[in-house]
Amino acid sequence: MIRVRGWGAEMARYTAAELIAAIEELTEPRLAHYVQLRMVLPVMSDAGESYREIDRARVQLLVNLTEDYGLDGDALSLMMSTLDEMHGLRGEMQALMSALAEETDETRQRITLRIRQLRRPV
Amino acid sequence: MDDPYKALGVPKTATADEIKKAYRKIAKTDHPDLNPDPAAAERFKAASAAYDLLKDADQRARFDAGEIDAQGQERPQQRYYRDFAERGDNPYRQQSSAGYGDFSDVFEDLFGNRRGGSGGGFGGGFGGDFGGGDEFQGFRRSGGGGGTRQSFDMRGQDVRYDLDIDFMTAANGGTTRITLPDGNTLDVKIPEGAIDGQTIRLRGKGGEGYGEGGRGDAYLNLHIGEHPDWTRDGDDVTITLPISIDEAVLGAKVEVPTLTGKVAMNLPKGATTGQKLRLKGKGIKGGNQYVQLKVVMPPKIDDELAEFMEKWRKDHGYDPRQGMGG
Repeated sequence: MIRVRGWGAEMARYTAAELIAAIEELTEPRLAHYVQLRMVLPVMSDAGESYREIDRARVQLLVNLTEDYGLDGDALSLMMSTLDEMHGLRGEMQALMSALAEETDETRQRITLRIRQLRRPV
Repeated sequence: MDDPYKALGVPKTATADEIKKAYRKIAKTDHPDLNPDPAAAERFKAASAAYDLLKDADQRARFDAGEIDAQGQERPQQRYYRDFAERGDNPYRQQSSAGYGDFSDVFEDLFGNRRGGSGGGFGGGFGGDFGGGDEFQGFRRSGGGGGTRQSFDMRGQDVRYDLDIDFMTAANGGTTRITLPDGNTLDVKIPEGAIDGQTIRLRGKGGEGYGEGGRGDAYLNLHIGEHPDWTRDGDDVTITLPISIDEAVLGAKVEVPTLTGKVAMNLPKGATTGQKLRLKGKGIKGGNQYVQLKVVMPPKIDDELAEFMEKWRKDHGYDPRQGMGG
């Protein structure tokens, strides 16, 4: 097994079989289906594909969305890109809030006021 | 969680099917990936633990008989997709951004890189799937002289993949065989001295185009594996070379592996662990190779060696820890 830096470094990698065993209601054809739709992108290598923790969590969510909401195909794809955008924006918002929290009271008040002005209905 | 039945909102007499249904219902409304409310996350966590306990008929019987309690049944802290997706390096979000190298987040605006119009900074991320942003250059509307018939041509989506390659392939270059999600196998050429995070473009291996639009491109993001003996700093490489105590004391001529085969190297007298010797130009693309020595004891200290050391120590003892603080 190759250990890599960056994404998933020091974290578990799953083979397709291990992933199927780890996620209830995930089957081989379903995983292949998600991969074919590029809904999940395993890490490639000449030793075959492997899945990171983020892929495990993502496939778990895909399975839930399919099982609980009957989402598949384009609807599932749209949902996932919306969620990615939402989660990403939430992360960015948190970073922004942390950065602002380090500023002086005066700066924070000025920004708060300006945001209210910008958000005021026209 | 004290009472798994309560966590799922089912009576003790519930059938396995009813338990599963109850769990799925909670998963549907309270899944942390879909519901940001912390109370929902708590309900989901309790329901998951309860379901894990009750879905197994044996475990359920033992719990009902009072042989085990519900404590300690919680799942090992499992991370939700949200935990990864909120990070700045979520590969799936970059995937959905418009075009390669155009990944933009809200902070782009903070540094004066404003685009025209309000909310311009948000345009890139979501538009990707619909050919938004810069991708618009890639499609054209055609036909429709009189407005009666219009066809829509758009270049296929660019796709990003992560690719693991081993240390030697990255250093020396080579090919690595991969299978794309569409089932096609191809040999990817890895350039000599490829670095971690480097991107390789595979023209026309991305998503299918619409109408007369061509296929998008695939981008492979390289991840270089570690090697037990080698490390790398740019084009310089370092190998750790074990040497014996006699070689360390007396000096020797030893064979050293390089990226391209073995070479002979002279060890100086009194070589020591951690010492670095340089093989000029033996790194990647003319970089240097460094040989870091590591003195290794014989597998067994025999009587002869021990006796010699006893004798030697009497007149030649030395303190390698001299001057150390603490």
